[in-house]
Amino acid sequence: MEVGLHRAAPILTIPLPLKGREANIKGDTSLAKLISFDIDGTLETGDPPGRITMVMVRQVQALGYIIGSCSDRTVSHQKRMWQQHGIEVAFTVLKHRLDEVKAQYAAEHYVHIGDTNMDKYHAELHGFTYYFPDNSIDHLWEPI
Amino acid sequence: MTNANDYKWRRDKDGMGVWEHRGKVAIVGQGHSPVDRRWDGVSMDKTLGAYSMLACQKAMDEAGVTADQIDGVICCDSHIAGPSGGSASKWAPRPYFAPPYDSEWGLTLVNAQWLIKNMGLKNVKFAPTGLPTISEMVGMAAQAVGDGLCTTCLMIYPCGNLEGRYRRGGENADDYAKGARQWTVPWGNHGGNDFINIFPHEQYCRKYGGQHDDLAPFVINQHKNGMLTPWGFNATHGIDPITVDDYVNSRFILRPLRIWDCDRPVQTSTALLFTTADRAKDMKQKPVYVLNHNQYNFKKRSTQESLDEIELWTDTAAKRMYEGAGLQPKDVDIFNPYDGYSIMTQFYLEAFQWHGVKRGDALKFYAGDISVKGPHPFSSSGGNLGTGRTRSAMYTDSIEQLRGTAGARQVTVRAETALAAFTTPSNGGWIMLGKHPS
Ligand SMILES: [Mg+2]
Repeated sequence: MEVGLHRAAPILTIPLPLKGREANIKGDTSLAKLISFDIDGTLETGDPPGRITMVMVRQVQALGYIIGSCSDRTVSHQKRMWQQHGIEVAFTVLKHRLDEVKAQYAAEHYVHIGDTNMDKYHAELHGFTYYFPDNSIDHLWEPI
Repeated sequence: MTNANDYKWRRDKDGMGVWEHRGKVAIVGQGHSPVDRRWDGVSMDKTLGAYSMLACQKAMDEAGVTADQIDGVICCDSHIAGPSGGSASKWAPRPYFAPPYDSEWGLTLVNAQWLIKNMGLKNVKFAPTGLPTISEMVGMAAQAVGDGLCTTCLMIYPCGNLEGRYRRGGENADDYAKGARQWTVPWGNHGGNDFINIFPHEQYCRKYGGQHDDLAPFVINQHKNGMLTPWGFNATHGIDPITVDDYVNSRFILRPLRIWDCDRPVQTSTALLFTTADRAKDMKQKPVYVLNHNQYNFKKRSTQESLDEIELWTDTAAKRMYEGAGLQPKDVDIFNPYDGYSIMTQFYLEAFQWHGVKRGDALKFYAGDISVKGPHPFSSSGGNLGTGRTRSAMYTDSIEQLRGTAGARQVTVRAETALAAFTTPSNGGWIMLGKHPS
């Protein structure tokens, strides 16, 4: 049995919307913005269902954000959830692994949206701007 | 109605000898309601009261018992978070509904009186108030039937959960630690894992060798067994069994305790039906006999328990149980200890020396074959980790294993005796069940 290992959860690399993809490659001032979504209590697919619908996720992805999920749900569950909704995401990581997302993707602004104080804790620990999933996040859906 | 404190039913002392009602009391029915993550606040058919009535009806139907035959009702009348949860475990005040949901009764609390009224139980003569958890209630029900206070007794354990953070309200949400809390929980939250597990668990690893993540096979096996438990939360909600990678990469809740070491609060209710061995012969279900019950409430020296204390307490619990049941470790076929936090289970396994496991052997034992189809089907219930925080899977799996009706979980080894508990090392109780009365 392998124990005590702390391997990085695998990160799904997929074609990003133009701005995000270019930003990821160039790493210059045209850097994209990145949003990490908690699942339970945040996305409509969560338990309890959250405020953010899959339509909203697609919208914000179309705006050019690099997106993915960050949850205590297993990585395999997260991947299956996105596949079931036909959404290709840049990352699926465990709640305490936002640092890996930051290491993997260069972005102008890192945002994590989640409904508990653990979301706030881990977001701020790793230099993400934290938002509770209420109307405080509406501005993220405005064109960037 | 009798206050539970007025009836001396506990077997909580050393040297009490073989239980006087050994094999004369039987469990003849069990019922689980659905297990939801939480009550949604609007579905009146899914309230804690509705689920408790459903569980009772299932237990009665299993035994072929009708409402007029019930003469005892023993129902835990506090929140699952328990009195220790204090204001942190209360969800009130909030809006109520039409009767019988015009107060907390039936919503976040259930008691015998509410059940008697709403189930039309007209012949109940024993329905005490101020009751403990299922940990001790199973013993109380067995003793009450044995003592003749009632003959056909429903025991109900309601476990409620509403939206919001479990045990994180009230004084736990306060910015100040007032009164005695300034000495015991100055950081605010008092969960349980911090005080009763972490320190002795780390002492355990230092004393006997091994590391925390050696618990992975046990936790993973609990999840597997949970998926074989059709009524449980995991099985009914398609919770993926976890892998070693999932476990060792998971988030720490309180280092080294990982998120998968902790159970999941749920909304559910469980009922067991106790009767006399004589009456059980004429009922629908194959009886499972009570061979002994014991309780304990050991005095702590401080807020922090040590490994030495836990080993002494669990050894004492095992000694009382084996003495009262007239059995030895080699006689126990099914062993369903409590796993609400995975890091306490090894203390019970070693104290009761199930399948020859001695102090310091548990982590090595976990690394072997502990599957339900193997030679050491440890915790065949899946426990709380595999079914949700019902605190009852240990009991109902034991009953099903002895009946031979555990389905995909049915063990392949002998299944004639079973030990089950929801308990902490310092406080709670155990029950020994038998396929035969003697
Ligand atoms: Mg959440």
